[in-house]
Amino acid sequence: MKNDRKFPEFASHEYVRPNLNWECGHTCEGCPCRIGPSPKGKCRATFECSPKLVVKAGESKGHWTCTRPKSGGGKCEGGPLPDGTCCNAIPKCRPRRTLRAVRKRAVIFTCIATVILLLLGLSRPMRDNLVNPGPISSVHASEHFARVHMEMSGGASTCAACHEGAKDGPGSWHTKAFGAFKEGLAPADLIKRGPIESSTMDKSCLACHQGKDFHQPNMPANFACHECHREHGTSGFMPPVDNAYCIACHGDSDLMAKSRDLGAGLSPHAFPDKTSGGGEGKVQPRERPEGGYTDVITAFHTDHPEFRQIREGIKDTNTLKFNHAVHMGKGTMPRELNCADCHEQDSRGEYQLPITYEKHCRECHTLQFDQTTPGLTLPHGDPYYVRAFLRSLNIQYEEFGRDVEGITRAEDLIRYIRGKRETIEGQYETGEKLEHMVFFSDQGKKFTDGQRAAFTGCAVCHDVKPAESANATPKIEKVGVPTRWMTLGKFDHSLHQKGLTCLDCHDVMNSELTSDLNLPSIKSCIDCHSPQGGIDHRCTSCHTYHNHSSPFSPLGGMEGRIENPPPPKK
Amino acid sequence: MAKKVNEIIRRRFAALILTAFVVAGLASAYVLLAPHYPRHPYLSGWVLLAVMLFLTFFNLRKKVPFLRMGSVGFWLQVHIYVGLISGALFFAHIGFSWPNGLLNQVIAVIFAIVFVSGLVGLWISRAFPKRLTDAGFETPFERMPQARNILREQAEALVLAGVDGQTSPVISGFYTEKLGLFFTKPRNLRAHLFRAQSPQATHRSQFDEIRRYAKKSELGLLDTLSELVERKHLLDYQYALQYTLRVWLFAHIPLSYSLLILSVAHIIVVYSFSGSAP
Repeated sequence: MKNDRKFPEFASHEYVRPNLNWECGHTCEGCPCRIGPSPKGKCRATFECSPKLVVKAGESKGHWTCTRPKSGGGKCEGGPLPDGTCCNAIPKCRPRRTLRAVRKRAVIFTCIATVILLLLGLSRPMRDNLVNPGPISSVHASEHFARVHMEMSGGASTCAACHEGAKDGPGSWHTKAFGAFKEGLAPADLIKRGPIESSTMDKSCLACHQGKDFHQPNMPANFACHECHREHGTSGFMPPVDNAYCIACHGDSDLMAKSRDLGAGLSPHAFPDKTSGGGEGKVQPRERPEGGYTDVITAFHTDHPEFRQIREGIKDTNTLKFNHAVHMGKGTMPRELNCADCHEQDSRGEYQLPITYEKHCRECHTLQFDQTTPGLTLPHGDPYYVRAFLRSLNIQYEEFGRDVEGITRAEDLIRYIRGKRETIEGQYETGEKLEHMVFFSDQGKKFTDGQRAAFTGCAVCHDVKPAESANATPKIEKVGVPTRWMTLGKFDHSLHQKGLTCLDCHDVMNSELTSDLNLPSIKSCIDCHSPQGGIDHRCTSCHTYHNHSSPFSPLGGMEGRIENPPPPKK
Repeated sequence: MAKKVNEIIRRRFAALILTAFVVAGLASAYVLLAPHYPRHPYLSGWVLLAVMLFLTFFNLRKKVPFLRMGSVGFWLQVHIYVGLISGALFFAHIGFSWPNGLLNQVIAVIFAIVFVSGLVGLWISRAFPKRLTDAGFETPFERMPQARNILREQAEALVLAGVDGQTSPVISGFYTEKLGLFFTKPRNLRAHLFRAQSPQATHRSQFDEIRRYAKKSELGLLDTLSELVERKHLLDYQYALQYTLRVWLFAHIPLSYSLLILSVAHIIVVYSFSGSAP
C-alpha cells in the first residue's frame, strides 16, 4: 500500500524557495507563474515569453518567434502577434506572503504591540498597578496610610513613599536601575552570603518606624528592613518572618565568629540590657555570656543550645525559704494547693504576676505571735515596725480589746490588757526573749486550728541577721521573687495551658529548695516545637529581633522626614 | 540505519540524564543555598535572561554558517535541553509561587505559553514525521498546492470524459455536489490532525451509494475517482500535520521576543525600585 503512495513527481525546474517573502497569488490554485512576484511583493506577470525578431537572409522585416522555454510548455501554437507581442498574457495575481514572511511579520507585530502595551501600562494612571509586584499588607494599605504616604511622596505615587524610583517616573528608571547595578546589586554582590545590608529604602521605613539599632551591636552589618519584612506578598497581615533570615546569620559559623570578635571589643554596656531586666519585670541579674549569643544555630530542634539557666546550673538566689514539695504535698497542708493558688497569670496570660505575702501567704502564714489572741498579728514587711509593735504591746492589746473585742469600759480594758500581758509573759518571760523568738525562731509548728500555720518566727521563711548594733533591729534580707527567668525569649503560658498542666513542664513535686529553678529543659519544648511535634518552631516564636517595640508615629508632619530621618536611637 | 537510531536514542538518553542532573542540582542549590544568599532572585533572574537570550537567538546559528560551531541539529538539541532547564530556573526565580503583580503575571503567562508551546513543538516534531512517513504520499509543504491541483485536474478530466451524452449525469452531479469543493483546497484538517477517519468514511459511504445508481461501465470510473479522493485525503493529512509543524512557531517565536522585551522592563523596574537604587 505504501508503495502506491509515493511522493508525487514534480518538474525539477519548478524549484520553490520557501525562504522568500512572497509567492505567486496563483500558488494556492496550484499554477504559479514562473517568474513569481518581485522581492517587494509586486506581481511581475506580463506574457509567457518575450518574442524574438528573427530576420532571415533576404528578408527585410523578419518575423517574431515565440521564446517560451520548454519548461513553460515550449513554443506556443499561435505564436507572437504581428506587433511582436506574446499572445499568451499571464493573468495578473495578487502575490501573497509566504508562511515564513507571515511569521516574521507576526514577530514584528508582537514586539511592537508589546512595547505599545508596555508604554500604555507605564502611563500615569496604570503605572502603579502594572509595576506593583503584589498587594501590600493590610496595615500598609489602609486609607490613612495611603494618605500619609501620598503626602510623604509629594503626591507622586503611593509607591514613591517607599520606593525612591517611583518619584520621578519611568523616564529616570533606567538611570536608577543602572545606579543600582553599579552599587548594591552589582553582579559581584549577587553572590554575597548573608542578609541584604541596610539600604536607602530603609529611610522610608524609618520615617514611621523610628529606631534602627534593634539588634545586637556586634552585628557585622546593619540589615535592610525588607530583608525580613516582606511586602507585596499578601493583602492580609505581613507574612511572619521566616527562619531562614535568622539562620542566614546564626547558622553561619563564619559570621558568628566575626560577630563574637566584634562583641569582644565592645563595652558590655553597648548591649541591650535584657539580662538585668530592663523593663522586662523583676529578673535575677546575670552576666552576658563571654562570647555573647553567637552559638551556631540552624534549627530549634537540632542544635539550639540548652537554656542557659539549665546549662549553667543557675540557682535562684532568693533568700525566701520555700519548699515546693511541702506546699504541693498531699496531707501536709490544711487544704490541697494547686499552682494557681500562688501563681496568677497577668492580664495577657503570658507570664505570672509577682507573689506577695498579703495575697498568697497570709491565708496560711498568719503572724499570730500570741497563741491566746488569734486576731492580733504582727505587721509584715519591715522589721522596724515589727519591733515597734512588740515594744508597744500594751497599746496593741488596748486597741485590739477596744476595736475587736468591743471592750469599752476603762476598768475592763485595763483588766484585759493586764491579763494578756501576764499570759504573754508566761509564754516568753521577758520582752527581749519575745523579740528574739519573733525574729530568730525558725521552728515550724503544727497547725493548731487546722487553718493557719502557727507563727514562731520570721526566720522560718526569711533570712534574718542579728542587729548590727545594740539598738538596731535585726536585718531581714530582702525577698526578690523573679517574675521571669528566660528574658531573651518570650513565652505565653496561656497558650501552653491548652492540653498541658504546669507539672508537665515544671517538676516541682520534688523541689525542696528555693534555689531550684524548676524550669523545663529544652528537650521538653522540642517534643512539641519541632517538625515531629508539629507545633510552630520558628525562631520568632520565642525571640524578637528588635530589642524594643519600635515607636510608631504615623501622624502628620511627615514632610522632610524621608530626607532627614531621625538619628538611630542609642 | 539501526546503528544510527541507536546512536540517537543513546544521545537523547544521555542528554536527558544530564538535564535531569542539572534540574536536580538547581533544585538542591535552591533549597540549600537560597537561605544564605538572599539576592538569589536577582542572580537567577540574570541567569534566566542569559538563557532566554541564548534560546531566542539560537537561530542565529543559521545566519552564520561560515562559523563552524557544530551542526544545526546539535544546536537544536542544546536548545531543547536548555529550554527544559529554563523552566526549572524560572520556577526557582519566582520562588515556586505564582507571582501577584500584573507585569510579573504577564511575564509568567508568556513564559508558560512559550515553554509549553516549546514542549508541544518538541513532541510534534518527534511524533509527526513518523506519522507522515507511515501515511505515505509524502509531499513537501510548498508543493502541496500543485499536488492538489494535479489531483483536481485529474478528477475533473475523469468526470468530463464521462460527460459524452451516453453516460448518466449521476457521476457528474455527484462530483459537482460532493467533490468539487473538496478538491479545491485543504479539508478536514482537524479530523486529520487527530487521525479521525470520519471524512474518509463519509466519502466511502457516498461512493457506495452512488455505485447503486451507476451503470456497470461507469464503475471503473468511480473506482478511479474514489482513488483520487483517497489521495486527496492523504494530501490533506500531510497538509494538516505539516501545517501544524509550522504553525506552532507562531506562538513560540513571537512570544519569545515579547518575553525578552518584558523581561528587560522587569529588570529595569526591579533594579530601579530596589532599595539599592540611589
